[in-house]
Amino acid sequence: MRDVTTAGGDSTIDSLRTTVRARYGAVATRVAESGSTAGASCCGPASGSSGCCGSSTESWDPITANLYDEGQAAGVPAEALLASLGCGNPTALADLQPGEVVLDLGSGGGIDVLLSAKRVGPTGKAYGLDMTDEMLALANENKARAGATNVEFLRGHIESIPLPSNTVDVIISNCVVNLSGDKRAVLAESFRVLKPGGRFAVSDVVVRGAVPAEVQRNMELWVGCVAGALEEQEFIGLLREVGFEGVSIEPTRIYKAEDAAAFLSGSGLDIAQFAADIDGRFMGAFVRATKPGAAGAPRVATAARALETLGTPAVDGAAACCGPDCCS
Amino acid sequence: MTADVRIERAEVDDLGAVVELLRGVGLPVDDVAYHIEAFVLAREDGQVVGTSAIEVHGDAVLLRSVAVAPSHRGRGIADVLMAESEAMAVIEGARHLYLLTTTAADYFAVRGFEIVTREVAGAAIGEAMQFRSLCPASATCMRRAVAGGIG
Repeated sequence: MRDVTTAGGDSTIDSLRTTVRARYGAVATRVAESGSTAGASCCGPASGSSGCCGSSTESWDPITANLYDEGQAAGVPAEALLASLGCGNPTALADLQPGEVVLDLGSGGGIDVLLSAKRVGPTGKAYGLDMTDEMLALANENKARAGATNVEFLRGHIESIPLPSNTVDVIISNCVVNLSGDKRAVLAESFRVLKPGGRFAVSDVVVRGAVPAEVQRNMELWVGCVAGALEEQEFIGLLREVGFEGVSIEPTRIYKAEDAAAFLSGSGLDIAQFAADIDGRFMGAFVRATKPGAAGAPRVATAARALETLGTPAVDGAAACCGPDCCS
Repeated sequence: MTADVRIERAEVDDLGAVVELLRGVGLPVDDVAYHIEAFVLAREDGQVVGTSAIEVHGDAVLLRSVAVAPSHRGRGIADVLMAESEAMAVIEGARHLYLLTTTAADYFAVRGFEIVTREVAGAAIGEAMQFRSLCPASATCMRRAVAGGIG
């Protein structure tokens, strides 16, 4: 395996997986048990403030909004932000059409899958792929609450997607690709499962230029959606190498020094020292690419039938409950 | 608050708009579908411009997902939303409203919320360990007796 992100790194894909799974699994368990994520409440402007939460700009655009304003960034755990926010709004950008088959890599609580399912409608299908049982349980609870019928959550790894080749119209993902220790496998697998003409439409954190080695090696940052980020040109190159065409990376948000401080908090690194080093280097970006070939008419039954053939078990919604009060 | 803003209970179909608003202001969305029936929304011309929700934990209720689109702030929309959430909390038999905030402690202090320790809040609205890990070190835990509650 070639680790494409860490020069001289000694981390294996398995140890990364274990760390990521442990972190996200714990988050999902807390959400499922307590029914609450890091629920920082927000409001209208406090006195003398232009706004207490999110962007302080006058007009609000979900794509370019300041996803972690200074106050939020100081407090909300990175995993909660990442699990719920990622670094973009993939469903808003993926231009989904009725009847299409969508796959969300690293679907977490399943929100983007549910939103995608609504866009592709009853003739379409939305799959979510996640490796943590706790997140899958939460996702299935969300699915049940939303009453979604054209949704399926799959247990597996994004480096080895449990779907047949040429079955997916659109792959979305929100700040997950960067967490993988084998990006080439993720992109090659994405290419494989997409139909000819299928679209890769993923939000991720991308780096411009070099990042200090200490930052790259820091596992907290890896899970905090930064250290695993691909360098922009490297990302483009990898996409082309595995066969994609029409590759583009569109920045949706450039992270400033204060964001860097939030990412670095708890890492044991000297924030003051590194914040300046990485100021402006990280960006939330929308990564697009297309699998060559003519886009055929969507055939929603194909993937489902092929799945049965493969014997890939769909994950059952294990209803995780919590304290005695939450399910009343 | 202008007359063209309406406060309504959320439906499942509002999930997308709610998630978009919360994401835009940096609040968690992972469990929103699970709690969507506990959301109240502010709408203007069909657009969701504000949200507020409750989670019931016995006689303690967590006020969460209070957000107003930046373009609509300063009009008192959040107050109306929170009053609606509080009315729902009363129906649920709540005695205390709790909240966690990293950005708006002053705002809520003006509205009668008092700072409580993480332990107190954790004992009321979640297992202390989980609550500690969810409530970031810099977050403020706050509580207020429910207006018109039994309590």
